[in-house]
Amino acid sequence: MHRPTWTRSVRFRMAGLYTLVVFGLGAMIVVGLNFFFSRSIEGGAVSAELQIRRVASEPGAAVWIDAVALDDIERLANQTALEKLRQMSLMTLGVLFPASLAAGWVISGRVLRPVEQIADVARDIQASDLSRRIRLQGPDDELKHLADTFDAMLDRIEQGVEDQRRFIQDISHELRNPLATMATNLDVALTDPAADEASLRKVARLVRSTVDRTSRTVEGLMRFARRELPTSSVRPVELSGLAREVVDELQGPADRRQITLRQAGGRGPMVLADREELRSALANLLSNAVRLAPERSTIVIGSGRSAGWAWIGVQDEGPGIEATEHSRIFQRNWRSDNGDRSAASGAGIGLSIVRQVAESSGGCVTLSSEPGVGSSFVVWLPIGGGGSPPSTDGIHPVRDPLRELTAADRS
Amino acid sequence: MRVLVVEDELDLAQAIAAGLRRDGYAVDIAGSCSQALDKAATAPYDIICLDLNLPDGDGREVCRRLRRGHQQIDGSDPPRVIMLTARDTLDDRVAGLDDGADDYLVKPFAFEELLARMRALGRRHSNGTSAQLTVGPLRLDTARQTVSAGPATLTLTAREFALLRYFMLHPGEVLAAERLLDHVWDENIDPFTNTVRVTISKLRRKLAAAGYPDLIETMVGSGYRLVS
Repeated sequence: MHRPTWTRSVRFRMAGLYTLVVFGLGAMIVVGLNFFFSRSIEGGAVSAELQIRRVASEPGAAVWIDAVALDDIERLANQTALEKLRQMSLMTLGVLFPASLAAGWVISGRVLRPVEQIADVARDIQASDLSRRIRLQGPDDELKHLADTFDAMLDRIEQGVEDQRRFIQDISHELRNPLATMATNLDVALTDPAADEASLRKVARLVRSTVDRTSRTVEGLMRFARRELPTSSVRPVELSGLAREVVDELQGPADRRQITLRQAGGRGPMVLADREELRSALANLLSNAVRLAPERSTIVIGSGRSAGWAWIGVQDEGPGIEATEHSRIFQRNWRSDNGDRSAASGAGIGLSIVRQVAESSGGCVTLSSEPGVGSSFVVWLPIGGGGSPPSTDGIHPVRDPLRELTAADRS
Repeated sequence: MRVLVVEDELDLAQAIAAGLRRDGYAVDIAGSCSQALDKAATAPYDIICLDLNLPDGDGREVCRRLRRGHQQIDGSDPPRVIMLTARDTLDDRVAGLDDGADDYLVKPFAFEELLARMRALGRRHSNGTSAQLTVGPLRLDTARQTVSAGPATLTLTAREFALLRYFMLHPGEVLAAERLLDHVWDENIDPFTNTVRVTISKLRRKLAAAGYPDLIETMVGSGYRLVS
């Protein structure tokens, strides 16, 4: 058996409770009043006193007052009064019940109105439009507090959804370019009536290498998406060996743009890190440099140790990054919103992955750059409880170890 | 038709160029904003395929500067711009077209579609309304790449086809040899070559074989003219 909906509401229960309290208290007072009143007049003391007073007032006189009859009259009068009181009491209670019910209903409605308002907004909010807010007016009470908390939560959700939307946009951009390269190469090869085996093989090789590059992007994305998970495969990694590996990997693309890759610094140092993650972070830095550096320039990839920290980094010869952009390029979804996209825009979400890899090993990434001269990106990693980090905010380095290293090489 | 492909992904740029060349376009490639503006300043491109994410800036800036600072190099129309980009949001597309692009194609695209859109852009300034160009007895189908003169079908090389198409887009106009060189040949041609003269005489021979020997006139000292 189902009760009607309105009886299941908080408003109904609040009105019921209110009625119970008000009516109950009222009833108790009325009943108590009746009880004590009737107890106090049933003693018959009034008529007895009266009888004695009358008899005594006229001594010797043979006036006979029918005391019993007077007693009866008094009792009758008292009973009538008591009856009247009971009637009035019942009437009062009869009025009090619906009145308190109505008052309870109205008051609980008033109290619960902000809750209705919150529920209305919550109902109106769609996943596609999270811009609505409650903005409850009124006294600074618990419900206002609830509404404000709700608004703050909506702010965070909206921000999260926006972040996610931009992240997906960035991903689609990262994936569409290689897709376009493959699609166009295949379209052109397939519609060429004069295509021979050599040209088809050339296209196949190109598609193969583009697939490899795309897989690396997807790997990076997956790693980025799983960033909350603790790194499981932390092992000692020798940084100069890692640098050599990454240089070999990107030698091909560098050759095509006639860029010289040079490795600087001696062997070592050893750090504790997830080798695969670190390799992909470094490859990310180097491939950005290879893509963005001017043709026929030199890129230095170096490693070393400095003040209790191991570092490995990439230095290119331009185009450099404006100082105002430095803090933004590491942000998760950095994309220049104004028309003038800086040179680093091609890096997409890569740099935020690099930053996250460095930070998950207890390190950081620093950038020093001068527009027109070049940039160095350096990943700093702790060696067995080293000194304080090379920078406090992960953005402005104390100094650029790569520049020092290349300057030392030159002299 | 002279085309500039602005795209920093070299593999993609070369594939587009190869496909367009096969269709009779003269194609140059630029890999950055500055290269694109340099090349657009020195050659009168008919169409520019513009990527937006370039290493030294935003392709939209290139488009704005092309629109603002266009100098007529040889009296020909300003280049038409088709944006080729991975940015696909409504805002991006609207902004791109508002910055002066004539068309917008989102990557990855089918190459057939790019060709069709380029043909559409190519005839936007001519009076033709379809892929068919007709001048006198000549009929040229830019989509199927076929040419007929009266009842006869002509077999032309890509360059001859491109040359005839350029003539048919400007019927009755006197076209200087330099202008033909600029619009039908790409930047790798030696400007002092007699390739224009040679290609025109080959084209004339094929037209003559179809029974129309005098369609392309030589205007001594000023250039060539397609009789309309």
